[in-house]
Amino acid sequence: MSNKEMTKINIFYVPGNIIFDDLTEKVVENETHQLVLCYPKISEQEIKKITKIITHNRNHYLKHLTVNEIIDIIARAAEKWTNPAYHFRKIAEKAVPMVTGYDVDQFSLEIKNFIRLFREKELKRFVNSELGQSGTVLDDFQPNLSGGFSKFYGPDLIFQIFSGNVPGIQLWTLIMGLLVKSPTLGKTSFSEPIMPALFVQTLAEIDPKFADTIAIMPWHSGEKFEKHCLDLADTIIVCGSKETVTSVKSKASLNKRILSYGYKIGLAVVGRETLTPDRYVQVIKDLVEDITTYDQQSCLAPQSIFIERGGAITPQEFASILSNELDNYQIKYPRAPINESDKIAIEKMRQEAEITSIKNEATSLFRSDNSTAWTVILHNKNGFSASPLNRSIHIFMVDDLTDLPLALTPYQQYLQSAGIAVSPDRLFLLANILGKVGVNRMSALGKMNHVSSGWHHDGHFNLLDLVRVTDIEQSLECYSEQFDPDVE
Amino acid sequence: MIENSKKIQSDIITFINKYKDYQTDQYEFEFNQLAMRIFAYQFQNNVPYKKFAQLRNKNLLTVKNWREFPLIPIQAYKELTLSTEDINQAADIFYSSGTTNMNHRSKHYISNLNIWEESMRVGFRKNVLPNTNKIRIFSLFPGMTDNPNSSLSRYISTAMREFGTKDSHIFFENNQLNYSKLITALREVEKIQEPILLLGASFSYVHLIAYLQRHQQSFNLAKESIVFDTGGFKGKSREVSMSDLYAELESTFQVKREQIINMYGMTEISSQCYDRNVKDYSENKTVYFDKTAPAWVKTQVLDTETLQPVAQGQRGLLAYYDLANWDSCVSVLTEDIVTQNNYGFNIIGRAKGSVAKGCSITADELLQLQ
Repeated sequence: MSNKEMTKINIFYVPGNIIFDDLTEKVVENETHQLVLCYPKISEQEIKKITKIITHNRNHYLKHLTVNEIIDIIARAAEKWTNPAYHFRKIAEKAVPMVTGYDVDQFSLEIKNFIRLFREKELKRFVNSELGQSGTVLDDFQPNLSGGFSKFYGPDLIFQIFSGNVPGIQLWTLIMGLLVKSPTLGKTSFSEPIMPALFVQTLAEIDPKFADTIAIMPWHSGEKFEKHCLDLADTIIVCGSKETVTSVKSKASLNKRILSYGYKIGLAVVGRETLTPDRYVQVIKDLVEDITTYDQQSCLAPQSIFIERGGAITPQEFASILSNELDNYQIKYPRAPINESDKIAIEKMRQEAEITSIKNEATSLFRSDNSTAWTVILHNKNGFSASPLNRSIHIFMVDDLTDLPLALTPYQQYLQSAGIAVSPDRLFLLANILGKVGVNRMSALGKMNHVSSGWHHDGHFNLLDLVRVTDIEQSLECYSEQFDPDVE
Repeated sequence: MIENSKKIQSDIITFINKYKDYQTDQYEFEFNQLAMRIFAYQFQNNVPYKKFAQLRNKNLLTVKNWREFPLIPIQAYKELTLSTEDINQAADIFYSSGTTNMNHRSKHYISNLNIWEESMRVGFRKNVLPNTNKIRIFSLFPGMTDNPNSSLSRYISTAMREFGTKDSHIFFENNQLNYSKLITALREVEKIQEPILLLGASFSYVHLIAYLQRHQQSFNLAKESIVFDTGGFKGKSREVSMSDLYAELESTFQVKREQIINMYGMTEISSQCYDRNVKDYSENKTVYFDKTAPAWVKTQVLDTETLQPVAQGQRGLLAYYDLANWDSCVSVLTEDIVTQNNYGFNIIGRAKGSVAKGCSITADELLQLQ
C-alpha cells in the first residue's frame, strides 16, 4: 500500500541470552518514512531473570575491569558515533526527530556535539574531577589523606528511571553507572526511548560482555513489576517530574539510596556592558540558541531573562530584536509540534501579559503571528517567572545585577543553570550572588544546553553520590606490620 | 456619535423576539449590523476592552464583521473592570465561584436586568419547556436569596418565578441539600404522576444519586418530567463521566434520556446554550443531543495553535459572541474545548495547562507547587 522507506529498530537492550517471544511494535510515520519501534512485554519473572544475569555479568566481568579500561570501551563507542556515516547515528538522526518532533537538522547538530562529551579525554576529565587519580580508587585501595587507604564501590544494582524530554540525556547517568562498575536496569520513557537503546547496542558491538551488564526498555509507569525493580536495586536514579520522583520515593523502601533529578528552572542574565552596538546582535543570537535548542524542554534552558537597564539598546529594543531572531529561527529550525494543553498554556501566558499591560502598561507582548511558535513577554520590572516552555520567554528588567536576589530567592530550590553575559570584572561578583541564591551552574550564553564534561548535575556530585567507601585506617596498617614474620 | 444605551437595549430585545423561533434571509445581515453597533458602543464605553482591541490592532475601521471582534479571554473578567455602564449603578454583579481569592473571581456587571432576563426566558421556554407554560420545579441549587451574586442562582430564581407552579421549591437550605424533604416531595409527585422539572448543577446530582443509592430509593416520575443539569465537573473531587451520570439519572428517576437536558452557561456571558434533545423530542423530530445557540448568540471553534476557525468536526476553543452581553464584551474566548457539527456543538472538556515531559518545570506546574 505504501512505498515509504521502512526502518525497524529495537528500543530496548537486554543481555544476548534473553529472547522474548512477545515483541510489541509501535509504528510512527511521516510523509516519507515508516518507523517501527520494537519492545518487549515484560513479566515479573523476566525482570528477575534479567536482573540476575546483569548482576552476574557485572560480578564476573565489569567489576574486574579498571576504570581506564571502562573509559576505553565507552570512548570507543562514542568515537563510532562521531562518524556521520555510522549506522546507528544515521538511524538516530532519522528516528529521534520522528518520535520527538524536534527539527531534523537541529537534532543532528545537537547529537554531534553531545556525543563528543563521552570521548576518552572528556571521560577522563569527568572521572578526575570527582575521584582524582583517574578513578583508580574504584580499582584498588589507594592511599588517602588521613594516612590510611580507601576503596570506592559502586552499587550492586542501579535501577534507573530515565526522562524523555531531551534526546540522549539518559546517557549521562547510564555511563555514570558503568564508570562505578555497576549493572543498570533501566526504564526508558516512550517520549524518547531511542538514544539509550542505540548507544548500548553500540557498546555491544565493541564488547558484548560489557554491554550485557545493562538491561533497558520502555514501559508505562506503574506496571506491576516496577515494584520488583525498586526492591531488587540498592540504588535508584530517577529523572522526571515532581510526581514521578515523589511516587518513586514513596514506593521504595527506606534503605534505598535514591538520586533524583527533578524540576529545575534556568535563567539568563545580560549585563548592560554587553549591549553595545557592536555586541548586542551576538548576545541576542546566543540567547535564541539557548531558547530554541530542544524548545526549552531541557531544564538547562532559560525561562526568564534579566536585562540590566542602561545598555546601548533599550529593553524594548532588545525584546523586539530577540523576537525577530526567534522568528528567523522558526524558519530555519521550526519548533517541534506541541499538544493542545501546551498551546493553551502559551495562549494563557499571552492573555495574562495582555491583561497586565491593559492594567498598568508595564508589560509588552511579542508573539508569532497565527501560531504559538514563539512568545516574548517584556516586564518593566524586576521579577521571575517560569514559562510554558516551547520557545516562550519572560524578560525582566533590573537597574543593577545586584538586584537579582530580590526576584530569585523565592525560587531557590528550583534554580539550576544561568547563562551569563557580563564583563570579566563583574563575573565573580555576579557568580557569588547567583551561587548564594541557589544557581548551581553558570555558562556562556549560547551554551546553556551544552553542559561540560565535569559538571555537577543540579549542584551535586555525580560519581561520588553513587559510591560507598571502605577505609583501611592507619592504625590497622601499622598494626598488621607486627604480624609480618620477617620483621623484628 | 456615541449611541444611546437605551436604543441598543431596545433593539436587542426586538432582535431576540424577532428571531427567537426562526431565521429569515435578513437574519445574518441584521445580526451583523446589530453586533457591529454594539461593538462600536463597547469600543467607546468599555475602556479596558478598547485597550485590549487596540493591542490586537482592532478598531472601528479595521473590524468589519462580528467574526473579527477581538475575543476577550475569560480571565480578563477576573482582572479588569469590563463594563460599558457605570458599575456603581449595576443591577447585579455576578461573581464566578471556585477560588478562595476574591481578587481571582470573575466579575460580570449587569447594568440592568431586562436583556439578561429576556434572553434567559426566551431560551428556557424554547429549549427546556417547549410544550408547557408552567411546571412544578424542584431545585437542588440555591436561589438568589441564599446565594447572591451568582448567575446560576439568579437563573434558578428566574426560572422558578417565570415557569414554576406555586408548589415549586428550592431544596437547598442552610448550605446543604435537604434530602429527606426532597424525597418526600418526589414521592408526592410520583404518586399523583405530576410532571416535574428538576434543576441542579451536575455535581449536585452526583451527590443526590449517591445518597439515593445508599438509601435504596428510586422514583417513577411522570413521563413528561425533565431533568436539567449544568456545569459539568470541573474542579470537583469526584469526577464522573456525563454519560454515566445520565444513565444513573434515567434509572433512578425513570426519565428518558431525551428528557435530560444540559445547559451551557457561565458567569461572564449573558445567554445560555442548551442540548437540543428536549425540543427535538417534543416536535417528534430526530433527536440530537448537541448544543445549540440562540439566534442572538454565535459561536466559532478556534484552532488552539492559530486561533483561527477550524474545519467542522475538529476540536478547538469555543469563541462565544453574545449580543446580550451588550454592557461588557460581546465576544468572549472561553476555556472550553468543543467540536461542532451540523446539529450543534459538544463540550469535550476544560482546557488544561501544560505538563513538562522531564526535568523542566512549566509555569503551570510551578503555580501548583506554591
